[in-house]
Amino acid sequence: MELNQRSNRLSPQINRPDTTQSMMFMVLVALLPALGMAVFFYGFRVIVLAAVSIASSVGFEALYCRLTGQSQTIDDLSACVTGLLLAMSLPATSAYWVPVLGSAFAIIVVKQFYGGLGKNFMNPALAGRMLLATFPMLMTNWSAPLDRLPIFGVDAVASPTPMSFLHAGTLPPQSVGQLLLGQKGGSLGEVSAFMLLLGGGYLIIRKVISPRIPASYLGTVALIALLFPHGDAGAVAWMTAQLLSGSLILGAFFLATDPTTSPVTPRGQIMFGVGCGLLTMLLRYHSSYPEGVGWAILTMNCCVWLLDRAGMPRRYGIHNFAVTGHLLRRAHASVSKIKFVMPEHTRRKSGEMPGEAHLDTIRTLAISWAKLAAVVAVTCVVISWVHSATDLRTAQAEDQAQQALLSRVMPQASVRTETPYRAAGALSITAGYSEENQLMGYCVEVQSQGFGGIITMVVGVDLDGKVTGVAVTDHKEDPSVSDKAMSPSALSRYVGRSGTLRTDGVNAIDSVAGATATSKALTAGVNRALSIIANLDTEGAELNVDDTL
Amino acid sequence: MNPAVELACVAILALLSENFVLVNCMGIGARTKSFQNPLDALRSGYSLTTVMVLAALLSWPIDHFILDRYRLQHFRLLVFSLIIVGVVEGLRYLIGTFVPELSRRMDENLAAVTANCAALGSALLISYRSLGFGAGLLFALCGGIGATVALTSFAFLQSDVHLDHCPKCFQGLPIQLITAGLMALALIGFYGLNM
Repeated sequence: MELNQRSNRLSPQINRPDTTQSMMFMVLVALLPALGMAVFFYGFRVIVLAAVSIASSVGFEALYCRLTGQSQTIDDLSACVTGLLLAMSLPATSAYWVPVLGSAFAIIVVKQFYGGLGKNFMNPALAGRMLLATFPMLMTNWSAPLDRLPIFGVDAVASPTPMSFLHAGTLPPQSVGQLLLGQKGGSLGEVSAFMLLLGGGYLIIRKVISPRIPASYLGTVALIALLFPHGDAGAVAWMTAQLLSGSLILGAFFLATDPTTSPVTPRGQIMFGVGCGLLTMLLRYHSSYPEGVGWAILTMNCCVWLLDRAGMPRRYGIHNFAVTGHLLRRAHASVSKIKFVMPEHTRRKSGEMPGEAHLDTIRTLAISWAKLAAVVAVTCVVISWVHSATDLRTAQAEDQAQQALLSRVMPQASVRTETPYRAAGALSITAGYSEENQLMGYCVEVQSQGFGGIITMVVGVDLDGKVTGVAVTDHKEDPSVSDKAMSPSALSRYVGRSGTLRTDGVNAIDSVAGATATSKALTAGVNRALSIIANLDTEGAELNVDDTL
Repeated sequence: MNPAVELACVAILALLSENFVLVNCMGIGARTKSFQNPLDALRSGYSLTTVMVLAALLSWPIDHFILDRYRLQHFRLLVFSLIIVGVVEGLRYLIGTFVPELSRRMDENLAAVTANCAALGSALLISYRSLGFGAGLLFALCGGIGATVALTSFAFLQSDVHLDHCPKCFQGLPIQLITAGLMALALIGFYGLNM
C-alpha cells in the first residue's frame, strides 16, 4: 500500500501537481462549472465581466513586471485565478470598471508590492473584493436569477438574496434544491453551491487543496448554526440554509485555501478553518452587513503567521509531546529567572548627619515636583477658565429660562427664534412659532423708567397687535410696591389689549393703588412694545418674509 | 439584556470591532521597535494591558465618585493623564525595586506606554460610554489583549513577509503603513457590530 509507506505529516508535495502553472490551471477548471451556472442564470454579461476581470488582472501584472524590470510572471496563471475569483465574487450587475479597479488593487498593492506569488500575506482577489465592498451601494444591487442581463446598459430589478433573509432571522423562500442549484440572488460565484462543491471536490481529489480548511470551516459554521438556530423551521433547516447561502462555499474551497495565505501546518490549517467559521457566524449574526465570509477570511489571513507558530512546525522525528515539553521548559527557565528581590534597606546609623549629597537629591526632587505642580496648576486654571467661558450647562440653563419666559408672555407659541430686527427702544425682538411652525407673534424686550430705576420687561404681541402676556425680567422697585404692581393678576390685565393704553379714560389700565408710578412705567413699556410691533407691521415686508420662513 | 451576555459583548467589541491598534488607531506610540520585533511587541502588549487595567481600576472610581458628583468632568482629561503617568511610574518603581530581572526586560516598554494613547483612550472611552466598573475593567483587559494580538501579528508579519520587494519609493515606512492599512481593511467588516 502506497499510503502506509508515507508519513502523515511530511512531504506535502507528493502526489501534488508538479508546477504552479498546472495547479492554477486546475483551480480554473474547478471554477468553470460554477461560472457556467452563473452564465445560465444571469446571461452572457457574466462572461464579459469575467473576461474583463481576468484581462485586467493579467494586464496589471504584466504592466507591473514591465515597469519594475522584473521577469514576467503571467505564465504561472495565478493572475488569471485572481481575476476569475474576483469576478466570481461580484454581482452580475456590476459595471465593467468595478473588476478593473478591484484587480488593480489586488494585483499591484496586495500581491506585487509584497513580491508576487507566494509572498503576499493576504488573498489578493478577496482583498480586492472587500475593498470594493467598502464603496457605498456598489455591492448591494443583486439581480434576480433567470433575469438575464444585457451586455450593456444594465437596468435590473434588485432582488433580495438568501443572505438578507438569514440576516433578518428568517429562512429564505427558496427550497433546498433551489439553493443547491443556485436559483437565488447573489454574486456570480454564490449561485450554485452544487457546482462549487463539484469544483472543490475535484481540487481535493487532485490534491491541489487539503480538505482540512474547508471541512473545519464548514463544520464550525454548521455546528454554530445548529446550536443557535433562528426562525421556526428547526435547527437542521436553518443550518442547511446557512451552509448553502452566500459565499460560504466559494470562500471555504477557493478563497480560504489559497496556499500562500493559509497555514502550512495541519493543526494551523484546522485552527484557521475554525477561526474563519467562528468569525463568519459572528458577523452573520451580529454585523450590519448580511454576509461575513470575506471579512472573516481576511482577518484570519492576518493571523496565519501566529497560527503557524501555534501549529508548531517541527523537526523530523520529534513528537508533539517532546516539542511541547521543550517549549514549556524553556518558558519555565525564562520565567524562573524573574525573582522577587527584597531591596536592602539603607538605614542610617544614629547620630550620623546627612551630607551635602543628600541635600542635593532633595533639592532636585523638590524642583522637579514643583515644576510638575506648577504645570498642573496652570493647566487647571486654564481649563476652569475655558470651561466657564464656554459652559454648555450655563447656556442650556439660559435657554430654558428663555423658554419659560416665552411660555409666560406667549402661551400659544412653543418655539422661539431670535429675529434680526432691530427697532429703536427694543432690546431684542423674538418671534414665537406654534408647533406647526406658524408665526404666532413677537416677544419684545423693552425698558421703561420706573420709580426706583429701570424696569426691563418682555411683552408678547400677537399678529393682531394684541398683548398676549407681560413678564418683568428685572427691576429695582421697592419689594412692597413691586409685589402689588407686578402680581400675576395685575399683569394679566394687559392681556388682550391693543392700541395705545392710557392710565385713565378710554382704553385705560387703572393704576394699582399704592404703586402708581410703577404701574405707569409698566403701561408705558407695554405701549412702547405695541408701537414697535405696529411699526414692524406697517413696514409689512419684513413681517411677511418672516412669515413664509 | 443578560449581564453575562452584555459583558461578552463588551469583550468582543474591545477585541475586534474597536481594536485599539487597527480600528481606533490608538496605541501606535513612538516605539517603532515594537512593530518589528515580535518579542518586543509582546512585551509592549503586556505592559500596555497591565497599565490599561490598572488605569481603569483607578480612574473609574475617581471619575464616578469625584468628577461626576462634583461636576468636574472638564478636568477628566487632566486627571486621567496624571493617573496614567502615576501608574506607569509607580509600576516602574515597584518592579525596579522588587523584581529587577523583569525590570531589565520590560522597563523600556513600560516607559514607552506613558506616551501611548491607548492607555488614556481606554480610560476615556470607559468614561464616555458610561460603562460599569466590571464592564470597564473587562473593556480595558480585552482592549489590551486585542492590541497585543494586533501588535504581535504585525511584528510577526514584518519578520516573515519581505517588505523590500516593493518599488524603492515605497520601501520602509510606506509599505509598513500599507500593510497596516490592509490589516485594518480586514477589520472594517466588524465595525458597527450590533449585539
